[in-house]
Amino acid sequence: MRQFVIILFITGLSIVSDKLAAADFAAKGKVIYKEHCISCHGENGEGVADEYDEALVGTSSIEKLTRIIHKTMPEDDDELVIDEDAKAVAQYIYHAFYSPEAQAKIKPVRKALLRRTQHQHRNSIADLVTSFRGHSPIPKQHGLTTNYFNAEKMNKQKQKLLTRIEPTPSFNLANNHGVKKINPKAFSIHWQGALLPPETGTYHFRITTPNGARFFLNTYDKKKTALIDAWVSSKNTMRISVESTFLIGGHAIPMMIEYTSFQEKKSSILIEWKPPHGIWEKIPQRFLAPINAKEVAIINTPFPADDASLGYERGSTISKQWSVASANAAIQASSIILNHLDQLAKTNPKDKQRTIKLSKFCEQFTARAHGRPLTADQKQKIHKLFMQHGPEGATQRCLMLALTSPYFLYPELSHRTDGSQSKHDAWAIATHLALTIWDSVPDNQLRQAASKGHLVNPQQVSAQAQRMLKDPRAHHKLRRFFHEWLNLSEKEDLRKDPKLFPGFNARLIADLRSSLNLFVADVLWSDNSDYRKLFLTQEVHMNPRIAAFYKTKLPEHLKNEQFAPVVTPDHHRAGILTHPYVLSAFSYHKQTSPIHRGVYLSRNVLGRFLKPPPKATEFKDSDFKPHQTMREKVTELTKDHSCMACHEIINPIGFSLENYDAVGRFRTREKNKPINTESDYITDDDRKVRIKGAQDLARLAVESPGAHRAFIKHLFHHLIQQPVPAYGYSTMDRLHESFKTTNFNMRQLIVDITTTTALIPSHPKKK
Amino acid sequence: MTTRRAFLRQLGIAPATLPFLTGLPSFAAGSENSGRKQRLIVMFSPNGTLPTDFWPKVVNSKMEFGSILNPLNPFKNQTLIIKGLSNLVKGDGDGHMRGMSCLLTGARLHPGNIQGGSHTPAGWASSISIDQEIKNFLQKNSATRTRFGSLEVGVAVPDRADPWTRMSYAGSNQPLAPLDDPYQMLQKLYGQSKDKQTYASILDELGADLNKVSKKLSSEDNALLKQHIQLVADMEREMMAAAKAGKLVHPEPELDPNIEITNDNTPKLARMQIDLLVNAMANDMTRLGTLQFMRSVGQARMRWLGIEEGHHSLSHEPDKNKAAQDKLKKINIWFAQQLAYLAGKLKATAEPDGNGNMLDNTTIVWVNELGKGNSHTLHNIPCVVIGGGSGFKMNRLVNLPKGTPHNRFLISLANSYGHDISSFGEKHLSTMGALNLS
Repeated sequence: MRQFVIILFITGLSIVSDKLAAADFAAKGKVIYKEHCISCHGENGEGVADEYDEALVGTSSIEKLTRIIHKTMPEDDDELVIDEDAKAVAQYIYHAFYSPEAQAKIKPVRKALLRRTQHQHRNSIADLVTSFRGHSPIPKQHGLTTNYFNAEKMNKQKQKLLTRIEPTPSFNLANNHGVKKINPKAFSIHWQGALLPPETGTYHFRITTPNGARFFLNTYDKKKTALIDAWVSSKNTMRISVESTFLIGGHAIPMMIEYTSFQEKKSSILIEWKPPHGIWEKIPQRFLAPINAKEVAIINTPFPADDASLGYERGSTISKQWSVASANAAIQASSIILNHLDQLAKTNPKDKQRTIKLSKFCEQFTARAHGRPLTADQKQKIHKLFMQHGPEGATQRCLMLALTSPYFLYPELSHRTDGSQSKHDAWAIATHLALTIWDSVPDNQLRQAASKGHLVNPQQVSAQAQRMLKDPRAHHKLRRFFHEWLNLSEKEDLRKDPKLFPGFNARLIADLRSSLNLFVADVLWSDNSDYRKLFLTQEVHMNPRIAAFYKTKLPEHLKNEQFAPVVTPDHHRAGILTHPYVLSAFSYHKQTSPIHRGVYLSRNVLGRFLKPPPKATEFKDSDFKPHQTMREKVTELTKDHSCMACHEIINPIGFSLENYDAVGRFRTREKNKPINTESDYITDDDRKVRIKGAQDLARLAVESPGAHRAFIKHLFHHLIQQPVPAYGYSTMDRLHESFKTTNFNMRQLIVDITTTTALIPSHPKKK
Repeated sequence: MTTRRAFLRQLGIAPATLPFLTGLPSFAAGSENSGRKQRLIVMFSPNGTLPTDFWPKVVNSKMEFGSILNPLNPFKNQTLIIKGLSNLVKGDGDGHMRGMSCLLTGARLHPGNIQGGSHTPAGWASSISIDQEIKNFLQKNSATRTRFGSLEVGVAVPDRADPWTRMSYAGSNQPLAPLDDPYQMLQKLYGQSKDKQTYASILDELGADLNKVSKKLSSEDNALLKQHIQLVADMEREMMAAAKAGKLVHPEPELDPNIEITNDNTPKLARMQIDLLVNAMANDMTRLGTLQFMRSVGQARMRWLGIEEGHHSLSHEPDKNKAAQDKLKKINIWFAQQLAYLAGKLKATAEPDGNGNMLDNTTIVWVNELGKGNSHTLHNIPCVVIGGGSGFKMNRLVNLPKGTPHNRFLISLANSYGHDISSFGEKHLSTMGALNLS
C-alpha cells in the first residue's frame, strides 16, 4: 500500500491507474482460477488426487504459462480461458505459488543441520593431526629428487655420483643417458619427494624390475614397512610387484623409492601407477614434487555414500552404516595418533611432565575438533579421564570421544546451541571458511584469527578466503566441483564401437580426461579466472596421442606425456561444450546422442528446468529408416506435443553439436548428407534465438543470465551444501551482480559466496 | 567407562563378535573338528649355539641338561634332542643365508642380488618350507582345517624382506613375513578387538553428551540428532548382546596397551607373542606356527640381560674369549627360557575336549641357522623337540651319524602328521628317507 502512496507523489495519474489496473488484473486472475482451475489443481496449485496430482511449480515464464493455458487449459474446454483471461491466470498463479520465488515465500527454505560428509570427515582428521605435526611446503616445481650411487659391495658406503630432479622415477641401463661413470655391476638410485594425489581413492602401484627395489609411501623411514618390498631379485628375471593403497587428495604424501642392482647383467626399473578413474602409466610429473612432505594421517575406513537426493552431496542423513563408519574412523585415527603420540604431543617417554603434556594435547585436540575453545565442563571431563586411566588409555579415550562428539560430527552444532549467540561468531565463521574452501577444519592461522576476533567483517573473511584458495586442499575441492558439474563421476566407460572408432581406447580416454581436467584447472586458476573462457576457448589441451587421433599438429618439442593447448584444425571449438571427453560421454556406443548432450547442457550449463519424460522412452536405432540422419531420427521420436514442452529446448542444443561425432571428431557430413546444425531455440525469457553451432551455444552460456545463475547455483551447492534461498531471497541476485561486475571471475565468486554465507545472521534458536 | 569394560570382563568372554567384525568364522572349538588336534610350532633363534654348553650329557642312559637347556628340565620327559643334523644345502648365498632360508625348505636358494659375507649373491628359497607343506596337507582335510592354517609369529624381526629375515616359504620366491607386533597380531586374530573394547567403554559418556545437546536444539534439527542417539544406543546394545553370545573357548589375551615396540621391551613382547600364539591355537584358529626370534645375523643388544654388544658380533668372538662366551651362554639360556614359557603355557592349557593338555598334542621344534656362531658351521644344527604331538620317542638324546642331511628330519616331521612324503627339498639329500624317531 505504501508503494502506491509514493508513486502518487512522484508520477502521474496514468501510472497510478495502470497499477490499479494491474491489481485488478491479478484479482481477476484469481477469480478465474478459483472458478475454472481449482477443481483439478487445488487451491494453492498443490494438485488434486485423481485429477492432476502434481504441484503446479516450475520455472516457465508468465508468457509461456499464458501460451499453455491459452492453448490447452481447462482440459475439458480449452476455449474457455484464452487471451487476456489466460494472461491474468498465468500472472496470478506465477506470483501466488508457481514460481520458485513464490515457493520460497510459502515454504521458507532453511539451513538444515548437516553432519560432515565423508570427504570432510577424512580431510578433517588428516588436518587435525597435521595441525600438531606441521604442514608440508607447497610445491613450486615438479618431479622427484634423484640420487645416483655407485656401491662396491652391498653393505659398503655408497659413492654419490649425481643428484638432480627427474620428471618421473624410471631407469634403464641399456639406454642410460647422462649418468656417466655408473658402475653397471653395483649401483643404486634413490628417488625421494612427494606424491600429489589428485583425488581421494584407491591408488595402485606397480614396479617392474629384474633387480631390487623398495617403494615407500607416507614415510621416509627405511625401517618402516615399505608398500612394495621387491628387494630380492631372482636370477635377474623380470618381476612385477603390485600393491594398492588408499590416499586422500589435496595433500602431499611422502614418497621414496630405493633401487639397487648388484652383479646383474640386466638393469632396469619401471614404476607405474593406476589412479582412480585412470589406467596404468608412469606417474606424470605434475603429480610429483621434490619436497620433503610430512606424513599424513589417512583414514581408509569405508564410508557409505552421502545423500545426493537434491542433486549435490550433503551430510543431511545418517544411517547405521554411517555410525559404524564414523566409529571405525575414530578408532583408526586414535590408533594412528597413539603411534606418534610423543612426536605430536612434543614429549618423550623420559619426560617427567609427560602426563601433563598429554593432557594438554587432549584438550587442544578436542578444542580443534570442536572448532572452538573448550568449556570448563569439557576440560573437567578430560581431567577426570586422566585420573581414571593411565596416560595412554586416557589419551585414547579422549581422542575417540573428540572424534565421535556431536560437536565434531555436526560442525555447526555449537553455533546453534551456544548460549552467547553473538551476531558474528568468529569461531563459527572459521569453521565455515574451512568447510567451504577446504572441506576440512581450520588451520592454525584461521584459529589465531578467530581467537583474536579478527574474523567478523567482510574484508577479514574474504582475505582469509583468498589465502586459503592458494592451498592444494582448495584445488582438490574445486576439482571435485568440476567433476560433479561436468557429470564426470558418472561417465567412466566411454568406449565406443572399436570398428567404427578404431584407436579410441582406454589410454586415449584417460588422456582426454586429463585434458579436460587440465583445461578447467587452467581457466579456474588463471589470473582472471574467467567463467566465459570455459566456453569461448578454442584450444584443446592435447598430448601427442590425442593430437594424432584428432589430426592436429603439435609443437615439436613436446614429449609423450606432456599436454599443451592447441587449436584444432576445424577452428570451431567452444571450450567444454566441444571437448571430446564431454561429447563422447554423452554419446551412444555407435553414434551421437543429441538428446543426452542437450539434456546435460540444458540443465547444468544453461540452467533450464526439465522434468523427466512423461513416459519412459528408449532410443532404438532399428525403429528408424537407415538413411535418416540422427537429427531426423530425434526429431521424429520427440515430435509429440507432450514431448515438445521440453524437447523444444533440448533438441536445438543437441543438434547444434552434430558436427562432432560420437568421439568428438569434427565432421560436416553424415550418411553422405551435409549436417544441419541450425535451429531456433527459445530462451528462458521467451526469446527466440537462432543457433547455428557450438559457438552460438557458447554465446548463450556466456550471455544468458539463466546460465550464469545455473553456474552460481551449482558452485554454491557444492561449496555450501545448502540451497541458495536458505540464505535469503536476494542472495542469488547479489551474487549474480557481483559475478558480472568482476567480469565473471570464478575465484572471486567463490570468495563472495564464502563471505556472504559466513556473515548471514545466525540460525534462530529453538523457540 | 570402567563399568562397561568391567561388565564385559566379568562375563568371562571377550566381545570377540563385535558388530563391525567382518566375515569371521565361528571361534567355537571342538564343534566341527573332532579328533586329536596335532600341532606344530617351529621356533628359531639365530647365530648358532655353544656346543659344549648346549648338548646334554647322557648318564646311565638318562639325559642331563647343561646350562643352556636347564630351563627345559620340567619338560625333560617330553623332550627329544637330535644331534648330528647338518644343513648340506649348497648353492648360492653365504652360511647365514642358507642357514636361515634353507633351514625349513631343505632346498637351494635362487641366484639373486643379495650379497652375504662371502660366497655368491643369492635370492629367495626355491621351494616350499616344511611348515607350509604340512599346513597345506592339513588344510586339505576339513577335519584338520583351520581359519588361518598357519601363523608366522616374530619377535624383534626387522621390517625388511630379505633372505636373512625369512624362513617360511609358501613356494619358490614366496617368502612369508612374520608378524612381530603383538597389537597387529591381535588385530589379525580378533579384528581390532582391543580398540573396540575401549570404544565400547566411551559409549556411555557419548550418549549422555548427545542427550544434553539434543535438549538445546530446535525440533527440525533434533530429528537428525535423535536418530543419532538411537544409533549409538543400538550399538551399545549390540555390543552387550554379542559379548553374551560370544563362543570363544579361551578369552582373548588382555594386552597391556602401553608396551612400545622397542628393543628393550623385547622380553615383554616375546611373552605377548607367545600368549597370542597359544591362545590362537587354543581356539583352533591354526595348528601350525612359527616363532622367529630376530633374524639370521641378528644383532640384538640384549640389555635386559646386561649385554650391550650385538649378538652377532659376540657370536664371532673366539672360544678363548671367556667374557664373550659367558654372554653368549646367557643369551642362549634366555632363548631356552622363552621355549620353556611356551611349553609351560601349552602344558597349562587343557584341551577343550578334556583329553589332556595342549602340550600332549603339540610338537615344538627349536632350531638354529648354524651349529656354532664363530665357525659358521652348518653341522650339528641344534634340534630340540618338545611335546607329545609327533609320536616320536621322547626323553632321550639321539646321536645321528655326522653329516646327516636335515632334510630327513623334515621328512619325519611331515610323516608324523600322516603326510607320507619320502623326499623333501633337495632330492639327493632325501635319498635315505625319514629318520626313525619313534
